[in-house]
Amino acid sequence: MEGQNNTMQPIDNDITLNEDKAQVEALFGKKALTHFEEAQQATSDAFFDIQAAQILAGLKKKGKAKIYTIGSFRQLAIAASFIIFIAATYIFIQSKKQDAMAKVTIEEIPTEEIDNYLVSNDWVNELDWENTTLKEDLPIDAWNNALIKDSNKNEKN
Amino acid sequence: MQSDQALIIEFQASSNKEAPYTILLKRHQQKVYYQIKRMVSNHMDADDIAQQVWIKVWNKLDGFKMESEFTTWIFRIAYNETINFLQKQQKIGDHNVSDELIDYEQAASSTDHPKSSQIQITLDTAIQQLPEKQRFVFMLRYFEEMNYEKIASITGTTVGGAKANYHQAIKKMEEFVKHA
Repeated sequence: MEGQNNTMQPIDNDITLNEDKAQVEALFGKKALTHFEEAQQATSDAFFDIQAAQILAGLKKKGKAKIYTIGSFRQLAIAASFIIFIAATYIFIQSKKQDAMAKVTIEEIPTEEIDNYLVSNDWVNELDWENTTLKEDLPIDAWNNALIKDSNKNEKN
Repeated sequence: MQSDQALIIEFQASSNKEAPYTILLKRHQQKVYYQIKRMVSNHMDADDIAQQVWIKVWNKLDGFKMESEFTTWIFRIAYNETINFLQKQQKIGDHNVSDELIDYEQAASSTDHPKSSQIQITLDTAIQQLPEKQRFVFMLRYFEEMNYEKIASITGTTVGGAKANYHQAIKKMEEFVKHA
């Protein structure tokens, strides 16, 4: 009985298949359907060999040179954004510090500090102080620049 | 000849995966390509999709648990890839039945087949106007002669759903022929 059941199943299935196919063939004719299928299968003789070679070559290439997937690319983008954020923050803080330093005027510097500076920098003593015009509220950087400029002028003379 | 199952076991167990994979590829690539070609009609698109399918097979075969036949699994991948492709084409408005007809006629005329007749064009247009899922089911049933259990597994539906899809497809083609 079991053997009979096993042989019954495919026959039953085939009957259904034939009925299903017959419905379509009644509409268009078997010939048209055959031509349709032949048109789908119209490829060059070497097509499948070439396709297989392309697939295998693509897989080998992928194995050798690691291609970033969308997932890892996203991770890379997040890491890059984080690095850029840290760098931008550092640059911003540094520029703020420099601004603050530049705003220190000569009056705010203790006399002892100026004396020490003059002792350790002899070239400052050689300047023509009378001809050096300085404004009292000049920022320290601008003051230094003016001194250097005057020093260079004297050397040329 | 090694069975699909034996080749899959070899693929999953061995570090030399290429040998069993190549046998599987060469054994099934034609059926996969033909099914995709029936759906998209264009050779270049069918080739691209088929290649994508086989790359996915390579990437996922290690995780294949053999709960279904290999052919069912691979046709399911092909189904997903093809439907994705067609839906993307529809979104960008690239899907054009008349272009597909030209492809079809060119393919027919490039072979030794008789010149495309009106009924041939009607058949092709009737097939192309079917919704993607019904078209896929129709192709599997008529041309691949698959049973409904397998079609249901491939398209992620029930056996009853697969049968309904096939008969709805026939009904729609019948309507199309009446009004053609």
